[in-house]
Amino acid sequence: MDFNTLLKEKNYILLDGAMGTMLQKRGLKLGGIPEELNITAPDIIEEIHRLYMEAGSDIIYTNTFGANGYKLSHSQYSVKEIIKAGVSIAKRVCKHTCLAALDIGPIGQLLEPAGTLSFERAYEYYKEMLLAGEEAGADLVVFETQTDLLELKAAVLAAKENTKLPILCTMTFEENQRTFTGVSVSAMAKTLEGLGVSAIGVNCSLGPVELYDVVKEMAEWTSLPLILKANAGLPDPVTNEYNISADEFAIESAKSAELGVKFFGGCCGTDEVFVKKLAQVLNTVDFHTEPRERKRTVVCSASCTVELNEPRVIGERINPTGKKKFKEALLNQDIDYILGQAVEQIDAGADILDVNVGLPGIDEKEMMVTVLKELQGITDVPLQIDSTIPEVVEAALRIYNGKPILNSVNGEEKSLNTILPLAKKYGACIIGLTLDENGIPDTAEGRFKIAEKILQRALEYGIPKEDVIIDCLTLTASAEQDGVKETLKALSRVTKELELKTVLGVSNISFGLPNRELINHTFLTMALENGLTLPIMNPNIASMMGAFRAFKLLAGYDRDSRDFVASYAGVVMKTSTVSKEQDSKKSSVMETAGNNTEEKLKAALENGLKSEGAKYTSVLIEEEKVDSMEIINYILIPALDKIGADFEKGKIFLPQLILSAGVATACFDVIKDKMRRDNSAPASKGNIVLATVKGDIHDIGKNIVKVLLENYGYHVIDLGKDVDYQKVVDAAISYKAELVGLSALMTTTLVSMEETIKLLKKNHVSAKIVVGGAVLTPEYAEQIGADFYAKDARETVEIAKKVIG
Amino acid sequence: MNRITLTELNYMECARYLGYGKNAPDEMTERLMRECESELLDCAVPRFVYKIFDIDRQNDKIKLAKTELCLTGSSIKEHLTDCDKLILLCGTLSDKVDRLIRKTELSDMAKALVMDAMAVVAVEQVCDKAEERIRDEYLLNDTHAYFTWRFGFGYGDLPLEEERMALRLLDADKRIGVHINDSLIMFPRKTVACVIGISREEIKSRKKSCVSCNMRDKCKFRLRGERCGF
Repeated sequence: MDFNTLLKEKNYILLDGAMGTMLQKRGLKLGGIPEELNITAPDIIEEIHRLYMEAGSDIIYTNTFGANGYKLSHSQYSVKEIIKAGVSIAKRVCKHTCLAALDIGPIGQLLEPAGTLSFERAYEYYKEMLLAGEEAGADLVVFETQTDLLELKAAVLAAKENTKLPILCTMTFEENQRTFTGVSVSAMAKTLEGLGVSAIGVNCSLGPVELYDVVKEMAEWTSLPLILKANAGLPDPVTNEYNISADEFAIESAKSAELGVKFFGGCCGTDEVFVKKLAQVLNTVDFHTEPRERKRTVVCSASCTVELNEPRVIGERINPTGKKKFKEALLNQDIDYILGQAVEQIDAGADILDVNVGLPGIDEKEMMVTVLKELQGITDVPLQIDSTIPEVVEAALRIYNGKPILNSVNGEEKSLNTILPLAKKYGACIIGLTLDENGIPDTAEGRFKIAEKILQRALEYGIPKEDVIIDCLTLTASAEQDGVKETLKALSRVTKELELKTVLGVSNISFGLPNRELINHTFLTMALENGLTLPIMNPNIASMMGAFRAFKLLAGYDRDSRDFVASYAGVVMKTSTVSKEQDSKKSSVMETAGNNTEEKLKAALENGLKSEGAKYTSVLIEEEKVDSMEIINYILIPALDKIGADFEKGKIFLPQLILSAGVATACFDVIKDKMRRDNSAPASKGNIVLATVKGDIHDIGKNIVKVLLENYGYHVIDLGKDVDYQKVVDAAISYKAELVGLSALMTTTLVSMEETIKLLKKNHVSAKIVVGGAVLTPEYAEQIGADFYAKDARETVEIAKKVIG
Repeated sequence: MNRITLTELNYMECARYLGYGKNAPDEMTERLMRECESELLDCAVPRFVYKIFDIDRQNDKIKLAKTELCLTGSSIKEHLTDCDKLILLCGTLSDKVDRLIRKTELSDMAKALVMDAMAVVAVEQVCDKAEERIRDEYLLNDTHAYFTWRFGFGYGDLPLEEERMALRLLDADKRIGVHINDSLIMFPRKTVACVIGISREEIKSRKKSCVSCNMRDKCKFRLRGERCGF
């Protein structure tokens, strides 16, 4: 019998119980590699499999949970040897009575950007195991005990792209219905369903009683059959014994049958008795046969699910079109600037962020991947991948952690044929633009027809209807006034007749008109009234968010006006406590500084008052017409020098130094903006490349150094953390850096620092090298070939002055 | 797996980590501390896991009975003098805190610095609480037990490499979501793994001191004539 027949013919499918628990009962020493037993003690493994088979298991899991390249790096056996042996033992036991599932657990390292394991490397680890498992004859694969959705996605893609094995996935949840990395049940369900696995569920961590609610939640989000493989209750931390009996376990597990669970088994603490009892109880359960249907339009990150059952805001600001500063940031690889745009929009109330990084002169694919990875490291908000280049789209879809929106496909054959298969493969929601080879139809009817066609084609590719979102396209009112009505009419028809969700870029409507804000938020309200689900807009504009929130209140989405009150009543509350104190401090500092703007600016710098700093810089430039360079050279730099000297003397401390640096950054931003407006490029003293070395991720020190160096007018190319040796060399050469700064915090990563320096020298990079980090000493710095050792951020500035001037 | 709830964080400790020594933090920094404390307490999901092992002394080595782990080096040997059992303990703040720190860096570097220091304070407080709970539970069954202070991996000459096996014995990845990479960095970043000895005899005051610390040549606290307090 194969897996699909089993799935079709049986009411329920019985899995096995624990492997680890059984091994410990047989005297396995803790801390060893249990998978090696496939070779060193196959009889023990075979006996365990046999016990489960005799207890009635339809599927048994091979003893290969941790047989990955990372965990076996110190083993004398290869991944292939151990997996081959493991699958063979299981197959020997199974014969024709049950199936052998290749069992695969997590790699054991955390993925980027929180950890250092790259998505691609994780994929390779899984691929190696999967190829070995399929070759050895496994009937299916099960990924279990997973806590990171992105890692699980790498695993699923590795299975789909390299094998024909049916895929089961189970993750491990805590009682708060989250995994350790914060993955929510809904995000798991929607993401994995989109990727096309056979069944999903939960295993380990808790007993069947606690997991009932987790399974219940899962059943709300997916039509897939569910899996429950609970522990035998909760463990005692001292004895490690689990607390419920086999009878209780069976009765409690079986209760989940009513939720749609089809696969039952046991995890830690269970043995063959548990499985036998489970079979007995399940045989008395009445399984209903009609399939559950769960159709909900959802986008999600791993930890935040946004259901499109009411209007939601897509933030449009991560996009270089028409934005000088954003373009500069892309060209300079200034990822922090882009991340800052994300944070700002989220704070303003965006539910989803559009991500577009297309710009001539940059590698869009590489930039898209970098930006997505970094965004996922700081925000929970689901993302919309905005590109029409298939390679960029696919690279982005691969590493996206969750279920994204793909922006976009249109009615042209070429677009439909390249983009729709990608949306299907990765389970993304897809935006269909109502235009085709003939351009944008003038009439609502024309656009409706294209929407119909896109829907039809999406369905043919197997994309579910609820994942299709239509953009009826906004035209400029000043140029095509009558077009506004057509857009709204099309919007209304797509919503009512096709029953699809809709999206619309709102801001284009007012192009060429004065008071654009007024037109924009009026149009927004009209569009929402006609059924618009997803306005793409700038959430930082108060009147836009205001109109949006007001609509949601008036249309009855914002129940009890909760969001509205929280948004607007909160503003008043916020200013009351904290800033009162700040205000009093502000005014007292500013009063003592006298009437002179220059003195006021200095006072703001010394006291860490950011907005005051920006304000007085602006006054100096705009009202008192002081030259920008004069402000830098005669006010900012001397003030920073004084603050730096106070820091060295121990008069002030690090947080104060950084606070002042933050004020200076705000001042420089004002100056740079002015220079941009005057089209005079901001002057840079010289280029400095900074990196936290390969293997190390402690980068807060490096980031502080960056802020201080920028204050002094150096152009910093920040390569981030865990940086490959070669990347440092490449950046130093291509940016003609005069100084390279390397940081490391661990004794174990000093080696990487040394290797990076070696490679710099080997490539005859002329830049001087400065190193820093808690474990470094001046002696060691010299020994590994660095030119300078900096004991802190402040000293790095002095070194930069010495080297560059 | 055990959960801990922190209710307040120690500002003076935080100030010390930030280099204030015995000086009181300035007004702005204290305000940042207050903000960071509240955000951290909201965001952290503190957890710990521990296991108790019999000590199996083999020549010069401290072996954890029925396991593959040997603790090596003279400092842990001295630390565990007269102990017949030990506790492996790992406590963490969860990776939401890592994200919070990174996110704070984007908008306010000074606050991020304070947040980072405050998180170190928090994870130590998690271990304090965990230790207290473990001791209380243990003493219910064995009233004549004495405990050493927490000895961290990498401290003295106890090799950091042995932390990897310790985490495996604790099932730290499965139980509390703690991982370790090739460079022996633990994730989530604000995580502590340590050893506590259990003895039948009263523990003679073997003070935490700089003498056995492998950071003593580079320690910034010592350079200023202070102590880190470990």
